[in-house]
Amino acid sequence: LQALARPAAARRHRGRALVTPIAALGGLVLSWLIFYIGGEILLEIAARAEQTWRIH
Amino acid sequence: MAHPLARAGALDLLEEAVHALRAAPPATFALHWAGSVPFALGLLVFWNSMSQPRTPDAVCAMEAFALALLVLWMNCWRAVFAGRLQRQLGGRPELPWTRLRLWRLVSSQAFLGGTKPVGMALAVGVILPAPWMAAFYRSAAVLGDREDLDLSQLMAKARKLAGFEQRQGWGILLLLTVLYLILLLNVLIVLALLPQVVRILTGYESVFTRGMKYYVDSPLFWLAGVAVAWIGFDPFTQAVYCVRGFQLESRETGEDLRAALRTLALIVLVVFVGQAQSLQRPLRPQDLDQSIRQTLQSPEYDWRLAPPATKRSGNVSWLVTVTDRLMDSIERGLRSIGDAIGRLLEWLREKLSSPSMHDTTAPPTAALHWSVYAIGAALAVLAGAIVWRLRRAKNKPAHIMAAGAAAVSLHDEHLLADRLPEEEWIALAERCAREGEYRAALRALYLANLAWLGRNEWIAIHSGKTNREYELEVRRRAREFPDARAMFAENVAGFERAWYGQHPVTAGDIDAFRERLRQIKTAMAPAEMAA
Repeated sequence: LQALARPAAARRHRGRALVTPIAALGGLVLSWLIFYIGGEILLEIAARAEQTWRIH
Repeated sequence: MAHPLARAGALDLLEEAVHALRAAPPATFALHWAGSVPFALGLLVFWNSMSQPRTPDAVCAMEAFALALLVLWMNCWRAVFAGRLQRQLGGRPELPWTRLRLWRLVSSQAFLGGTKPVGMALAVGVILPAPWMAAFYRSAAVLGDREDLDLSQLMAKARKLAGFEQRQGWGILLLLTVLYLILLLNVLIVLALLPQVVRILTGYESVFTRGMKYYVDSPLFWLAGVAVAWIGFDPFTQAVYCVRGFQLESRETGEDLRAALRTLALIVLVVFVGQAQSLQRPLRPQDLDQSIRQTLQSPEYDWRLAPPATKRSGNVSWLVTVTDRLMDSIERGLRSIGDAIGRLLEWLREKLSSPSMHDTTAPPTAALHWSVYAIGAALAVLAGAIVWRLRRAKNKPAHIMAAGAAAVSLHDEHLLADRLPEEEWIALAERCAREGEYRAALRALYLANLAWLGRNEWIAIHSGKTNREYELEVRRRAREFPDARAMFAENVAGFERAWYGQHPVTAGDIDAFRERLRQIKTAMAPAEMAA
């Protein structure tokens, strides 16, 4: 039973070991995405404001 | 070190946090600011770049990535700050840095830093779980500096800590929000007045002092205010959640009791050592009197004072308690200042009195202590410097006015309209016209036009602006004066034709320009001048 159970436990351990780096990378990507979308929204607002200003 | 007994009130928790921060060394604050200051600066740069409509998308992506790294950097330092503060509360020593501790810190803060904006936005949008969410992320920052917790364990523990004392969580969040808004208001007022204060104290005129309204209207000004207030306030916010986490964890571990016992042992040791030292040297009556006076000033002996005139009910609101404490602190502070001044005067009186009053038998050594001469000399130098500066300031305008017009070269391409007042530009133009230099006269008249518009805040004069930009500025701000706008546009065109296009300028052109300037001034003059 021990011999049968060991590989499964090792696999689980490897799987858990991967969770942390993936979560860290995911957090970093999410952070970048938030700022990128925020930046694009700001650029769009600035472009529209300039267009309105030119018309008037 | 925190008090051993956990107290449930949000206000008490905030007080504990203040005590913890006051006991913390400057290096602990530096840890927090090592992360928060670069992030705040990065955010301001990012905002500035994104406010320019011609910024390419690639730059936006790059700067967003740099900002994401700065968030990670800031979160890591905040976690180190929180960890150190919590070890200080428990009286525990610093932990050594290992590779595992560093990895767990960076990985957990990368994940939490990315999910926090989303989580907080959802929490604020739904309103109800906002205190839970804030407590979760702040507790995670406190636990992030520990080597023994991996990401899942850290999140489980933070979730558990955030789940305790929901009512207290609401109180903390509301109090912190109110305090932050008060601080923000103060910071904004200081930032708005700073250029004017600098101008008053140093005479330095800047773009910010000339265009105060536009400076305050700028979104960057508000963002800078928010960032500065956040840099100052965030250590306190984190300290509150450090104390909260410490008290909640202590319910299971008894850490607060252990910390209190360590303090007690230290006090006992100090008392024994102090007694041993006091036995070796005799006690002077003056020292004893001073010690008694100091002891009697502590709050434990307030019962000696007369009771207040109004009788309060037993259930006093926290606002009244805070106000009372504040007033007491101010009163104590004023009393201390008064005592210090009294002691200084007493010391001076002793030094200035004749030596014969103290000891008639000893020969006189010196009339006064050397420090009295030093203070006197410093005061004399200071007074001299002030008088010299005032006299210089009084003489300066006349000197400049006399030399100003003569020192200006109308052929200088970098000449700015705010170099001279409008009247002097006109005088210069008249002189040039008399000498037949019509081109220079036209330029002087144009600069007079700009100086008048600048003085009346229709435009903000700046070396980076073009004539076209001034024209657009007038068009935008003086919508109600279409004739004046058209005449100014005509003046700009006339000046550019002559100055850059090499068109010949005649005396008639000068007269026409002067007439348009007069009409602009009549149309756009401020109300009080028109009256």
